[in-house]
Amino acid sequence: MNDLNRDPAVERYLERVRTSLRGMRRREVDEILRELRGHIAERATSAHDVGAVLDALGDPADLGEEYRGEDVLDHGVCSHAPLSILHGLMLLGRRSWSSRGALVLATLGYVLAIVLGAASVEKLFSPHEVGLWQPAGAALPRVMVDGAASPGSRELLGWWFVPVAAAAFGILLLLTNHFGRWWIRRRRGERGSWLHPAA
Amino acid sequence: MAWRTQAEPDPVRATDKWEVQLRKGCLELAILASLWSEDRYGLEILRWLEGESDLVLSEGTVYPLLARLRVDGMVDARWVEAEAGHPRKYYRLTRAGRRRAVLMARLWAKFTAGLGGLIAPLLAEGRS
Repeated sequence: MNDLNRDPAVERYLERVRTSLRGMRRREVDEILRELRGHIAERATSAHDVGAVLDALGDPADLGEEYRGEDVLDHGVCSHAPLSILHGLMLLGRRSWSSRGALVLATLGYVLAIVLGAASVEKLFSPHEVGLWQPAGAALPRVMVDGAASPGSRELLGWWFVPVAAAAFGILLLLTNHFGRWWIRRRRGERGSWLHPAA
Repeated sequence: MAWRTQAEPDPVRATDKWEVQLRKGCLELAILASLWSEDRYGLEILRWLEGESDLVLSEGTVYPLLARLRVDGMVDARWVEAEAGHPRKYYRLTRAGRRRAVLMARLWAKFTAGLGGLIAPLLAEGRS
């Protein structure tokens, strides 16, 4: 058995799996490779040659990607970090247009949240440049971040802009996080591989 | 008014696509069912499925799926030193996993029972 595990083909295969697992925790990677090594060893002793066993496991890069995909989605579901959630959505987006749409929505949500958060801070330092103004003749007020509105416009919130924009930042961030995690949880079972009919 | 017919699609190809989706949908249930009566390791699950059904898991897919079920709390895993010389990672259904397996099995039974009546004439046509 140990001789088999030193088979260059097996080592090459496992090394390629390891390469495609980059970014995962060392302990998890070692555990995955240990399990695959056991599978290969046992399969090869029961009427299969090593090449056939490795072929049956599939392309090592795909296999690693499958594991890594699960890892990325796990982080997307469990994490509150926008980057982890976006990463999970990007992965799902490779498989479906609807997930690409979810990725665009989440990205817009985060961008808008960042703009509002930054504006609330910037208002403290540039009170006449940043804020919510009602331009003369316009139906809707506008958030200005690069200078006060045209003459005749009226500022709506004054210093209240700071807590309102900060609250909007927090709420939008939470909602976008919630949406992203919900989407990943809902769609993760739809990706991956499937059963094949017996020969 | 005459029926407007388009170019005839390939029914075999369309059915293949549908079959992939169908198998994909029952993958998780098949794994949970394989662990219902006893703890098993990855290769044992594959063999059990080969023996008990006409479904065979693509070998490279069972392990990532087991990893996901473990993260989801549906299965536990433990390493056992085997006489064969290499350790085996055994999986066991958790309480949540057992509940989920039962729910999925009930849904599956309800779904297939409901569909059974609908497709009976189709099967009769196939036999005639």
